[in-house]
Amino acid sequence: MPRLRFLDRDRTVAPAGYNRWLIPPAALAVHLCIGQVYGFSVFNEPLTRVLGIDRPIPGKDWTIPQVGWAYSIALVMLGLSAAVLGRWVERAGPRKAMLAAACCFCGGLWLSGLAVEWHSIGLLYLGYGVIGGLGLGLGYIAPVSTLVRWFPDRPGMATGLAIMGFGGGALIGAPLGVKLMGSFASGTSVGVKEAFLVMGTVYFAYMIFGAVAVRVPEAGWLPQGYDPAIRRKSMMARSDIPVERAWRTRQFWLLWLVLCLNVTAGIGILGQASLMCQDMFAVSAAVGGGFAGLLSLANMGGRLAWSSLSDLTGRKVIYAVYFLLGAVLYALIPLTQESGSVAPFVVLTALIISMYGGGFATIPAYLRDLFGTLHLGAIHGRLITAWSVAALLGPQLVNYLSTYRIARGVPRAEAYNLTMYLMAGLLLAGLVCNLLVRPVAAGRSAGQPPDGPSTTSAS
Amino acid sequence: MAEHPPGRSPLRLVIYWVLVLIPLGWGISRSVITSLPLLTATPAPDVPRAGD
Repeated sequence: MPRLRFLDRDRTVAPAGYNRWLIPPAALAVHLCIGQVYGFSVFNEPLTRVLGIDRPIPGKDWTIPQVGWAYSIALVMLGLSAAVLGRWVERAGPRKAMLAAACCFCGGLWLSGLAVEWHSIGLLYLGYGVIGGLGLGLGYIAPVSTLVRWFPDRPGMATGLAIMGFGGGALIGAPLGVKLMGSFASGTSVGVKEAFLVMGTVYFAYMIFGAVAVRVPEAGWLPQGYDPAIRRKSMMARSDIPVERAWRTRQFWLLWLVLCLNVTAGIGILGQASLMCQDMFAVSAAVGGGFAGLLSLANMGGRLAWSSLSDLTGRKVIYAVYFLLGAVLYALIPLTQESGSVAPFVVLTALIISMYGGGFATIPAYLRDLFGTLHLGAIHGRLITAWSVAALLGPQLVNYLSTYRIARGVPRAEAYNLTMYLMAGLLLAGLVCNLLVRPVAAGRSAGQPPDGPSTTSAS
Repeated sequence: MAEHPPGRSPLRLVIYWVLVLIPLGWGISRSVITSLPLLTATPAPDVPRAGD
């Protein structure tokens, strides 16, 4: 339709001299919204008393496990949609993809509001889980590949900026959800329906701002003073590799394992942070909650800081640091429990979680180094399936191990020690995978050279 | 007011960044407030815990 032409990729090409620092806010606007999914847990308990209002009505109201499935379905759909629709995102351009993400994610929130009104768990799964999850996948990859095109000289910082927004989205979504529910709660409503509807509307406005503001650079554009031939590092691709070839390479699957192991080792701890702190140090629930809040900050800050640092060190070196330092820190955590001091425990775990966030943010830049920029969105989309797998594995591992050990009579304070050693082992396995990554052989490359016309050989 | 070519206006740049930094700053400040109890955390290893 002619009226929708402004959504096309060619209509989003920036004019000469366009300020590239206008693009990160567009990417952040989308990621700050879709990051709300990490704060979904604040709705869990209120959703179990939609009918009872004051307390759940057994047999009629939803249960916590039933509600929790909406979150799990959303995360699985994130991975699936990113993998399947990655090529469409590259073809359609970021504006169309970000608009589709806004319609799906916010439509999912509105449908969730209706699901609460009609008390239909199936509609909640369809709305928040399936349709909202589709929006998550589209919204996650579209801004990342766009930013990498604008910052070929600093791809780590660029991906860190966008993916930091996803971490920051949880910091906004959780307290906003609590505030809205508090405002709308009454004798006849727990306030969840209204919170979903308001959040869907506010987030839609923000995501539309992102879609309107986003631009792509014209083909062959390079920032002033940047010469890819000079800056080319040994891991960098000589030309852009299409997704069909990329995902058949050893390098792709090694990076898939790198991401999966890094996320598995972090996500299990992140999800259990509050309880773990209370169990290990006998602190109050308020302190446990404070610990979880601090980890969220470390997770967000690590995304920008570590990923930006990777522009100086190279991606392989920074992942070696994540894995090696992470494994050492995990192995040290049981010692902090024995010392009975909370502060070292807090510092070590915050550092670990900052590297977990860094691992998320650095992976698109690593992919760009190995496979080029042109098909990055599609390749990144396929790699995100590693996240979905890890999101299911990580929490299960931590839950199962700690519950099993407590049931076997291990004191609660020591129940997590084995988990820490297991996480250290997972990170060491990730280190091996990372060390096995080699540049993609020239025979695999068949597209146009990344970052412009230069085909200068690797240094 | 001076005219700027498309995508070069400093005002536009400021507005874009403020639009995203305000909610992000609010989220960060809420998280810092939540984390404050950590400063006063003192372990009490002799206190029996639920499930012991």
